[in-house]
Amino acid sequence: MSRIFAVAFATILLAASSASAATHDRCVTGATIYSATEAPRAATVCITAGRISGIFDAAAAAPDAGETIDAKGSWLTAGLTDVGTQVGLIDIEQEHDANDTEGGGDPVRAGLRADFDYNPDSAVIAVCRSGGLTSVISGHSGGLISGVAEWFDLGRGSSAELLPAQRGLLRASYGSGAGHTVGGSRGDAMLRYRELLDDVRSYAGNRTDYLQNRMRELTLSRTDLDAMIPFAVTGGTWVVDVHRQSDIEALLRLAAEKRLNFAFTGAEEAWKVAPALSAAGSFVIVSSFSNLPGSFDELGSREENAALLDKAGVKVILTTTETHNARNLRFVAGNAVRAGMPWQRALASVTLHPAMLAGLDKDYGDVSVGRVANLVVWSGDPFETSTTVQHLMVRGERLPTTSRQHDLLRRYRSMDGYQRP
Amino acid sequence: MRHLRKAALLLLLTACGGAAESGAKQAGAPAAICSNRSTGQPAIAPLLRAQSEDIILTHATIWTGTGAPLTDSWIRFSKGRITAIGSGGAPKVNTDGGGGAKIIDATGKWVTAGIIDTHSHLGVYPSPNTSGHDDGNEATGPTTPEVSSQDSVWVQDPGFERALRGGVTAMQILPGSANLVGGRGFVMKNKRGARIAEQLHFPGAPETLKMACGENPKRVYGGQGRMPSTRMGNIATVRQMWLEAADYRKRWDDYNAKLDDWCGEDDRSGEPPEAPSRDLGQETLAEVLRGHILPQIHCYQADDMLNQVQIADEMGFAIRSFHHAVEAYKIRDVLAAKQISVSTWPDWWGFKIEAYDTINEGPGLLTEAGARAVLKSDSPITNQRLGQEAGKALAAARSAGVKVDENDAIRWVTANAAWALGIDQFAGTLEVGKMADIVVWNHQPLSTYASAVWVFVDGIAELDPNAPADPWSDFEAGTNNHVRGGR
Repeated sequence: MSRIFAVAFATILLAASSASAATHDRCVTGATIYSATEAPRAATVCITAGRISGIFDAAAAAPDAGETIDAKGSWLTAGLTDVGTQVGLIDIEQEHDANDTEGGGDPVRAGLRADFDYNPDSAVIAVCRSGGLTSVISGHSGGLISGVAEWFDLGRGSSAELLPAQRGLLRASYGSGAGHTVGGSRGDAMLRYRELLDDVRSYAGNRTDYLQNRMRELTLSRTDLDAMIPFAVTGGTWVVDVHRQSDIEALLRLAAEKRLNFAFTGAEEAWKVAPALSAAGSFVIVSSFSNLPGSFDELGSREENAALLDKAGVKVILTTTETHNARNLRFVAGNAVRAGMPWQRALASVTLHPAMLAGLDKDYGDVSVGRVANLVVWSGDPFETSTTVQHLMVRGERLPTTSRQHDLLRRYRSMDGYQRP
Repeated sequence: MRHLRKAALLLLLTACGGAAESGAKQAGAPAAICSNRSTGQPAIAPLLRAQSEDIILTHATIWTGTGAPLTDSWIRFSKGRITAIGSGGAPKVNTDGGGGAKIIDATGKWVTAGIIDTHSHLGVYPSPNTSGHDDGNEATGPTTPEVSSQDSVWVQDPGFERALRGGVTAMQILPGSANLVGGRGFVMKNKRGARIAEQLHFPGAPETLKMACGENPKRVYGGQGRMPSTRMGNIATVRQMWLEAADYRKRWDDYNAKLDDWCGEDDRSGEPPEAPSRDLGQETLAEVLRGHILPQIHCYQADDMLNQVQIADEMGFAIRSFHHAVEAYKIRDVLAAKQISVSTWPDWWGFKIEAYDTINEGPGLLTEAGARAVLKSDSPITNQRLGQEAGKALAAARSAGVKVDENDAIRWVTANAAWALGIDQFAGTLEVGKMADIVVWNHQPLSTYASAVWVFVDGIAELDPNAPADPWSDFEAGTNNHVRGGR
């Protein structure tokens, strides 16, 4: 209630000020707002300087705006965010000059940050927008610790400009694959984690000794040690790719013992440990498409995973786990609903919860005054196959919902001019 | 060994005399090589189960795949075949013969023909992904027409049941794309209880052959330092292969003509003609040239497809379906004129340069041009939601102003798929006389929210909401029964 009141109060203030001098850059009229936190409501949403500057009763007179977008009958939501991508790091998987998704060398690559490799001109970005994504969390894969993933707005500008201030998320892995990475069993991977945590903490407390060569040999490079401090010492969030119940439980024990902040991704068997995950307050990142025993790490894979976790109070995030087709995030959400997740919870899992994971929920993830205007206007229920994106705004800027693929469509809409072989 | 038997049957049916080589010289044998020729019939495995009662689905919205939806209608099936379809909610006992049948009230539900997936690797690349069951590519030589995916199918793949729950009643299991010729495909029905793949064989389905062009074979064999390592190497290898197959075919056709003459003689004096030696791979290719085996060719790029069309024209066979074919929209006029179907995806792209030009409107544009578009999965995940794939492609096409409708879209995963596999006379639409492979959905079939409620294969309820939950696969016995629970 207090939240709604605050919004209403801000609205009144803004409405009053706009009447005198300030004009909204643009307003979207006629749509119904679907939010992760409030009931659907018909309203006019206005934007100024990249942020939502007012939300007005639909019945009130249209606010003064530089541009008015008529969205009568449409749905308006916060832009979607897929947290599990490598967007910007890759155009073509098979071509090394178009693929920067994996670091090299030592299996610990904490110093590698997504923005080192992020290319805002990647053709994938516009394709993501065509599916209603306004941001992604993107990062490297491979190794035991893959690097630091970051939130990027899918707008215009350099990678530095598209990167809100954030700590980033440390991407790591555990389970049979992690064991294989370090040349042994999953237990060897656990040993390596314990060793590197000890090393980072020794380093963080005695950095001068280390630099003056008065310290035992550490297993990490200096850049990795520095990069690990926010995650091993000061509570930054790890996103650990893990699948089997027993592995999730092992990580929960490690997190409790070492006071680490773990989110879990993949997490096909997370539903089996839902109460513990709920108690730990962990984010769990899953795909509603995972329902096959694809490996012996995920024999308990089932499509109700997201619904069961949500029901147990776990903060669920849905992901495609894809990059080129991260645009299909809305259908991953729809399939979670098909498998029993309440619709609004599914919306939260692709809007608000990703922003919370990144520590950016004050600015992103919902439709409220003051938040960054990453917004999508849909022809209907965003999770339905029959729905299309009508308008999309990133940081308040209207961007085309078309991509290189639409240009190909234009070139081939007519077959005239192509020689018959 | 079904393959050997199958190869022998093909000889009996079309080329005769598999036994001639050794038998001809023996006393009494000549009569046998003549009489054997007419007795060969394909051994169709007996059905695993038979439909025991007539079933009528009532008050449904029926998408027959042949035109506009039928609202508040009914469909009856008996002994594995559709026997009647009618309007007005439910059949009248007196005039429509509704008596004695099991009635299933499908009020508020949609009914379609079973989904047919033309491109699956279930069983040959099963779940879980293990080295012991990695059986999809005989990647030891660029042309392996002698192998058949049927011989690799692990019938315990848990993916079959997941596919059934997605409404898939039939599919083509293909070898992978490492080879220019990967081997025969296996067209099967999706039924519970098979102990060997043969029991799943789709009765009456023609044989198919998986081929591949472009990047995949040249990567695999170029990587081994052998031909082909380039597209020109691909084409040269395939062209040489077809020339040799044409020779093989001619040797057997000549032999059969001579045998016909010899068998037609009253006294059969003299020695019967000597049979050429057999080669399983060449037999398969010869059957393609004769038009009895339907080629299914993995190609992404428009130019790669046109090169294959040229070879097919040159050798005198018809390509039945291009697979993946993300650039098919660029040559849709040719594909329509040549009657080549296109088994594709609405949106997969970017994993290699060949797949860089996918557009979501592809299936719509192909349909508009009069070509047969098919949406297939190539994935144990996607094949659980082919209706959604069709829904996505429909929305994209409509958005671009392409005139296609729900009937076109459902045909992308049913009727057109059946045509691509040569089983359209048996399946793919809801029409009287066709096989009772039928899905009842709880939402509009192209919706994200649609789940199959009932799935009938040969009139048997393979998915029955009232049946006790027990996984199909022995692999999931004991450990994974929750997968079916929670509902």
